[in-house]
Amino acid sequence: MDHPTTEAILETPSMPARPVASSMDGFLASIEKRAFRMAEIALQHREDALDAVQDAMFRLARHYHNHPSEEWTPLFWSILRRRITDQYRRRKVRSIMIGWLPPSSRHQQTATTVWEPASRDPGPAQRHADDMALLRLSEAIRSLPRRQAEAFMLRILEGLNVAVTAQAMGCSQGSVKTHLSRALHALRKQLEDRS
Amino acid sequence: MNLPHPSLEQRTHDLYERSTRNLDLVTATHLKVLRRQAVAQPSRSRIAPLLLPAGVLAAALLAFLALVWRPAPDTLQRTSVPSTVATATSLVANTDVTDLAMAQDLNFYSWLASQAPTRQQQEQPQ
Repeated sequence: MDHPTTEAILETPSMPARPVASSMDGFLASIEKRAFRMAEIALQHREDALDAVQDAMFRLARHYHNHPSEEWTPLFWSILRRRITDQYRRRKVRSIMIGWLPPSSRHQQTATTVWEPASRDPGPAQRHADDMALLRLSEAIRSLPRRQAEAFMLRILEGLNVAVTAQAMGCSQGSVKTHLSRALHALRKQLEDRS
Repeated sequence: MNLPHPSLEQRTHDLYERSTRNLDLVTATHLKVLRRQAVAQPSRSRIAPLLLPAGVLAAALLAFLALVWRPAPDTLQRTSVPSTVATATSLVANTDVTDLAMAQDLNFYSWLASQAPTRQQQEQPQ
């Protein structure tokens, strides 16, 4: 299989930088769906993902709308990353609390399924295959240590360059490369060995 | 001819992009509503620049009032100087005398003081 070298992936962006809108509304419109998808991959829960994205959008619009638009991308991902971490912690506390409850009351805590109408579908078979692949990817990412998962999602899925990823993660560029290298190694082992 | 198999990075990135494009309508609408609410919320920065000057102004005004405003001198005299015509009873009432015997003594001495001039007046004609 022809893999690009790990060094090349770590150094260069996987895709050209996305244009940043000059208005806050335009910026959020361009990023909201991807933000939701990333939060959903990380949290595997639709409502929690929506909460995280909502909070990130509100905080960015309230506190940083006067900042230059070039700064919005790392700021937004940084806020969303923190919100996802908060949700992890909240969920951990919740699971401890639910663990103490009797089994009958546990059922009340489960999320209800949401009816999803068909949208612009490429086809049910393709859609189903994508859903399954996304679920496998999501599970594999969630098995990674948190910082490795963040580096992979921001750098590979979102396609941010190393500098912006480092800003969003609040660490050095060297740390991003280390986390990403380990994440790729682990994911290759999980996803490619299985297939 | 076999096409080169895309890398894991490329495949996962494409999957992410595809799943984002095919987001269901309910979620997309929900996100749009959330975005409009976020943009329409009153920004903190409109009020924030006014908070600091307003606080400084209020503190300065308070300090100025504390330094300049004093009670009028006649008001001070009225409250601090006791009346010379106060009777022993009112003296008792003003001071914190709780001892009943002492209060009775003071009543007696005040009565005695009021009786003394009348006795002198009675003795003088003789």
